[in-house]
Amino acid sequence: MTFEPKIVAFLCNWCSYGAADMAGTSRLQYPPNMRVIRFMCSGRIDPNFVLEAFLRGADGVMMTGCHIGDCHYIDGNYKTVHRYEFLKQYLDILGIGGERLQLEWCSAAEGQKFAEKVTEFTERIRELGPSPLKAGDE
Amino acid sequence: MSETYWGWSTKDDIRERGESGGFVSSLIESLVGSYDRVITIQKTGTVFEGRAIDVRDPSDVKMIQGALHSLCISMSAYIKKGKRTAIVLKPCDARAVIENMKRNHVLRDEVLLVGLNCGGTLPAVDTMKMIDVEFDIQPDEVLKEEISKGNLIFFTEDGEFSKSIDELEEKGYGRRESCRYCDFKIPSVCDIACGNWGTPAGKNITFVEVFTTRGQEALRHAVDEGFVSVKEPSEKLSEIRTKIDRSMRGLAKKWKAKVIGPVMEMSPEDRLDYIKDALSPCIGCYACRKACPICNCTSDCKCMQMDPDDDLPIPQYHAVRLLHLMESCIGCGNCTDVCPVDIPLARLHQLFSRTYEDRTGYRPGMSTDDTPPLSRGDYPEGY
Repeated sequence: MTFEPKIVAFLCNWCSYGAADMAGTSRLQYPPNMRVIRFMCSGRIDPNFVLEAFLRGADGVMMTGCHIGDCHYIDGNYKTVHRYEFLKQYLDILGIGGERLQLEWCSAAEGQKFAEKVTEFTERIRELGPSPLKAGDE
Repeated sequence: MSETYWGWSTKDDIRERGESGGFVSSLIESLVGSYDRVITIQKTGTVFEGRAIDVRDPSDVKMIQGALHSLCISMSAYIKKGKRTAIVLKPCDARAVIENMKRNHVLRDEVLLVGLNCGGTLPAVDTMKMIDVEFDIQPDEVLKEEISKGNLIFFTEDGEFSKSIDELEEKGYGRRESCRYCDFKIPSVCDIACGNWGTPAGKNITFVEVFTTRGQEALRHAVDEGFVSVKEPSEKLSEIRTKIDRSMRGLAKKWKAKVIGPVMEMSPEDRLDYIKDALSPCIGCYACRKACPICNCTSDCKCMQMDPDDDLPIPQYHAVRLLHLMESCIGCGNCTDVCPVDIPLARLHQLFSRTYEDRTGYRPGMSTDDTPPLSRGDYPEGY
């Protein structure tokens, strides 16, 4: 059986969810490996959520939000950046690999960019193979 | 800012009985009354037993005695918000207090930290065994112990017994693992740091370094009220103190390369397996969380929502704790001490926090001005 990556994506309500919507209404194709979880703000993405996604079998996690300066809550995504950098180090030391976590900014008008980034990320995870945390399961 | 002195107790009995001239005992005595709580440790039998006491009465000072290297209690737990506290602690405890200050669990203005230089602590049970096997003396005959110039020294009525710590540690005895690779020996985050490095041998004198104005005030009060005497230290011996500190830290670096180095050199997959295997015996007793001086979340912390029947590759409890402590583990080793199934928890937490420190330069417990990485919300450059 070929490996199909499981990807969990955390989307903020105001920008990146809009971008995903935009990609849908524009009938843009992107791989269906992504499971979307919608947040009011990317600043609400607790590092534990990312951790739990990996523990429960995700091969990759995407964090997306508004561009810096465009956050609906002014500076919510500043926090996202600091957490993202911390998590990357953590995943690296743990042995899962920091490259399995990705942060992208997508405004509500960037449906095209959203579809491209999801495709890119899915391909990268496909190359990396299943998450080492799942070793022995499949 | 720091000022250095040689200090000693003005009272002959305290000077005789206390370690290195009884400076700390007398300083503690001078603080009774000006603080709600004055906390230090007390010997309760042999040199391997003791407990923390709240000194309420100057006569309680009689009960304070010795360095008690085998007593590894977490002093930071005795500080409560709202109580003005003066406390004697070792460097790792001091760093824990600083971490708690960052999270507003302790207020800087309410505490006076009297730090003790620390070359490492000893695990009580293993040490008693070692005394029996290696030194060939009965553990309860030991009157006093000391770590000096790389040697572990025990005093009994028959005299002095000394052995090299390096040799003992090769055999698996000696200091606790977390102390071996700890590189914070002089508690520069405290108000006052005391120790016997850089003092003339056999003279019963403490080397005192004062770091803050609060520390200066406390020392001035103790001198003015006639509890302690101080004088300028000799330059030569001050340099020796710096040298001892440097060599201890150099040794710690070697131990870190020996203990943590090999794990970081593994391939990511092997490292993950190593961590998984190390954590697999966990029975979910939460003792490590309870003993941790940093863990201050209440019972609704994410780490407590571990379902024992949940078959995750790494217990979620540990995954969350490893994450939280990566930004705050100060390496006290309490978690390893309390673990009933002997998981080398301190090694795992230090693997994360020390590697993170090497990569980003963020070192927990050093300054209340640092913002912990997970609490940062300032403008991110380059995004």
